[in-house]
Amino acid sequence: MHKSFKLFLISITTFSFVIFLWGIINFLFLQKLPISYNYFEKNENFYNIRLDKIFISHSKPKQNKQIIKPKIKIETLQGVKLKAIFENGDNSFIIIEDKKDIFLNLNQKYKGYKLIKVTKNSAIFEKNNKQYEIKFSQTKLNIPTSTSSTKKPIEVPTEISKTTIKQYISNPSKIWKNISIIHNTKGYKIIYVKKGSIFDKLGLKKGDYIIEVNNKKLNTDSDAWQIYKNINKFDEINIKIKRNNQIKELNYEIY
Amino acid sequence: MKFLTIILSFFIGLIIFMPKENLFFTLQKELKKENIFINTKASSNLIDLKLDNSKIFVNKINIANIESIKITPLLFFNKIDLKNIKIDFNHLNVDNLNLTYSILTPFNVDIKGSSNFATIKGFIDLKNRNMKIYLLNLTNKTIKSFLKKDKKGYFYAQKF
Repeated sequence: MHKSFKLFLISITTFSFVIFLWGIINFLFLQKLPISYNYFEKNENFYNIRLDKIFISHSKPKQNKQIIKPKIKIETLQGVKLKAIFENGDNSFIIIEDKKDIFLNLNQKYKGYKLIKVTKNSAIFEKNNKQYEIKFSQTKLNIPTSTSSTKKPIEVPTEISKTTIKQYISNPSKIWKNISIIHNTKGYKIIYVKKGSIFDKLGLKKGDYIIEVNNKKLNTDSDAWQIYKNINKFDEINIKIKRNNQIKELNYEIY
Repeated sequence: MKFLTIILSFFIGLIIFMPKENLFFTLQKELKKENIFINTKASSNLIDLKLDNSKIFVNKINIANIESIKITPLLFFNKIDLKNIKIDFNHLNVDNLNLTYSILTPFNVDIKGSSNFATIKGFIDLKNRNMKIYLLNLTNKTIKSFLKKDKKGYFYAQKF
């Protein structure tokens, strides 16, 4: 047999052996399908609904087409919290909390209760020719007493411009010149606030612990980063802080 | 001659028939344990593995987007080329980053790159399990506060 043909056969045999070897490794040890992270942009719009803006933007407020019989007694719907209202004629919707957040459009049914009317402060349902109402005030009553006892009244909202927020996002060094926050076992502690800075004006003080931002608890850097990334999407920021062992809430409207 | 042919064929076969994509998926599986995800589109040819439009997630946070990653596993000389890395912080953009491993320095991985904020030079010491990355001619003041400094300049050091 020719020498070069012999070498060719040797190469082919070696290749076959390698293919077989990789095949065994692949079959026994290797992952066959890709692994990816299913991410989604968190839609936290229900924190941001500013009713005054919505009403002002509609020059001619539409009259609700639903006719409510005048003599029907309206009862209070128990066990459901009203979280947000978006009043926009036939396109109105509400967000209620019943174990989880539920979006309900006008005329949509939930547990047999049909949403028939949305007002500025309440939502009216109908079931078996009876009407039921839920109001924002009910939400406050349902706050657990353990936390409400330590809570001070919510402060008057302070306003921050969107431009200011954009400036801080585009130049994070500006943030750390004015405020220093460390993450210790108790949470995120403010260890420095520059006098006269925006953070000082907003009422944040040295020694405060930031507990929640827009009802999202700050436990990990991941939580903090997600808030930082989404902050320009908010129309309102609510910061829950712990100061001198007391829980305090700071509300800011973004205009 | 026979022996040399076997060795050469074996080496070439190992590279050509390497299940590069499946090896990468296995790496993804291992990274998942550390809560690190690489969302990407993987494709391979005879020599390289290419990853396009990769999104890197660490603890559910999208920390970087990489336009293209090219991994060349030649066993005795391995190379990873990363192009156009956009870091989701302060508009940081790394134009290119090259990691090379050679059998001549078996415990060392060289890192070289260029970015819009510094020239990147560093190494990974596999023996002592640490890495040191120098950011030379650093222009971004924000990053400086996260780095250490020695005679050569600002650097990032990490043990693993």
